Amino acid sequence: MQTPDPVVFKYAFADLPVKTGWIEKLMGYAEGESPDPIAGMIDEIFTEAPAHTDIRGGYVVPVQFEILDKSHIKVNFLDFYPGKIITGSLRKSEKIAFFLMTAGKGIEAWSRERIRNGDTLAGYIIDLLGSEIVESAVDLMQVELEKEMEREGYHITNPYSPGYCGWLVKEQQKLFTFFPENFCGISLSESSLMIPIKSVSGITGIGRDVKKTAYSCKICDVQNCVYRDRKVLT
Amino acid sequence: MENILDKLSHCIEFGKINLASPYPPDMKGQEGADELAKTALDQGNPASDILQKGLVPGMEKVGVKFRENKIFVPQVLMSAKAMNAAMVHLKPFFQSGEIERKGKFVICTVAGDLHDIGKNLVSMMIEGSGWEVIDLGVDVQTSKLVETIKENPGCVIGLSALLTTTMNNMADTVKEIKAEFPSQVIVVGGAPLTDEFRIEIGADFYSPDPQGAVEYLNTVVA
Ligand code: B12
Repeated sequence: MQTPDPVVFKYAFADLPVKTGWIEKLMGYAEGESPDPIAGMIDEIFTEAPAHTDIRGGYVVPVQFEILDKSHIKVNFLDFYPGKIITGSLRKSEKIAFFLMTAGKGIEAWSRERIRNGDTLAGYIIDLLGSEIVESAVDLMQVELEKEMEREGYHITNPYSPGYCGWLVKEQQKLFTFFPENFCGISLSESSLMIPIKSVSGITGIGRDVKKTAYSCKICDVQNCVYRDRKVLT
Repeated sequence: MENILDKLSHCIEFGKINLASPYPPDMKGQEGADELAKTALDQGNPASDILQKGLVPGMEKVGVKFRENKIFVPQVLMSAKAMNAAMVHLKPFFQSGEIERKGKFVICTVAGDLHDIGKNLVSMMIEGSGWEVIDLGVDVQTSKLVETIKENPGCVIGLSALLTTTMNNMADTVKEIKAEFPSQVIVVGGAPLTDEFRIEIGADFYSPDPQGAVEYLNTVVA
């Protein structure tokens, strides 16, 4: 079945709401309370970050979508099994969007280079920043998707990703068929690893009667997740 | 006065690398692991005491505090850096065989997986507990591990995976290694792993954190 072309987004580092305090929190410290030399290093990395990012992604809204049972959906007549939790969250959706987003390969290269030069702490901070960048970019793209959909009277659900809540990571193989090869520089390996590493894939439900819920940590059973109870952009 | 090995241990615990390093702030202007290791050698302390009574106890405290969430990754990295600064002075003694380490620990991320921050942390802590670490990197095929085991008989293998898909590759790797070397000790870890999975694939030990692996390895040599 024909899939429409993806809607593409490109962001500059400055477009993202990423804050230095978020990185401290991700590390485990309270905002503004990381011991020296961490805070200074985070500032330095934020200044240099724009040169190392290539933040791109996009979404597609396939023509056909149907929920078959509690944990089984069909998109363009292709079967997906997102598990009970995610399928339940998509319940009132009339359509869905699949999305991909990446922070680019430069950020990984930068992190590795700093580690190779003996600066493991900077390398680690850059790694964390890469994760925050891609997550924030997904949030921004969701806002755009929402705006677009609201023009037609639709709302959207939270985004959900393969590998979470019982949806197998390998289902990304099917998700990727909805995008052109090497879309935004993102490829999927045989073991369903996206390259660049700082990339995220997922699905968002769209419908007149759907709504975003407070963060989905309550429904997830990964207790030690560093994102547990993290605030989301609304 | 405090013994120089205790001071060294303190530098490792708090990540004081050298005199020039301004961190941690309350040790500014003091000598760090680098200078103290050298002085300790100059004073005639046996190199193995410097490792076992200075560096290892410092890193042990780091591992325990990390597990208890009293410190976080950045402080572990600073401590590892301090440890490395001291190790530079001990290098000749490793080469001459004067310092014997507890054993060899070969670590890698399994085939199909590129994640390495977690693996690197484990590698630092295990090295800091007195093992020689051979880091094979990421996306490592079983054949490479088999070759390494042959070159390093008696080594312990550590495998890391961060995705459920590459956990399958981990299972295959463990199976293939055990088929060829039935008594090979294999330790596994990574975010999506559990002890049930470890039992299922026939590995010897699983730990959610580096310190658990350090403690297990101590029992392996005991
Ligand atoms: C940050 C993060 C991301 C970031 C960055 C990823 C990266 N690695 O750079 C982003 C946002 C990009 C991301 C994306 C994805 N992620 Co992610 N991510 C995480 C998260 C929150 C933290 C990972 C991390 O860096 N931890 C910090 C390091 C230091 O910890 P660690 O590697 O686990 O290592 C520690 C221990 O595990 C242990 N250890 C590790 N190895 C070893 C080895 C031995 C021998 C021993 C003893 C111990 C040991 O010691 C280390 C130190 O304490 C985890 C959840 C979590 N809490 O772990 C999910 C997680 C890894 N992600 C997951 C998933 C599914 C994904 C995606 C597939 C989602 C998607 N569809 O987009 C993508 C895949 C990306 C890709 N390239 O393919 C799953 C993987 C499990 C699964 N279902 O397969 C996890 C576990 C979350 C979950 N659902 O539970 N992710």
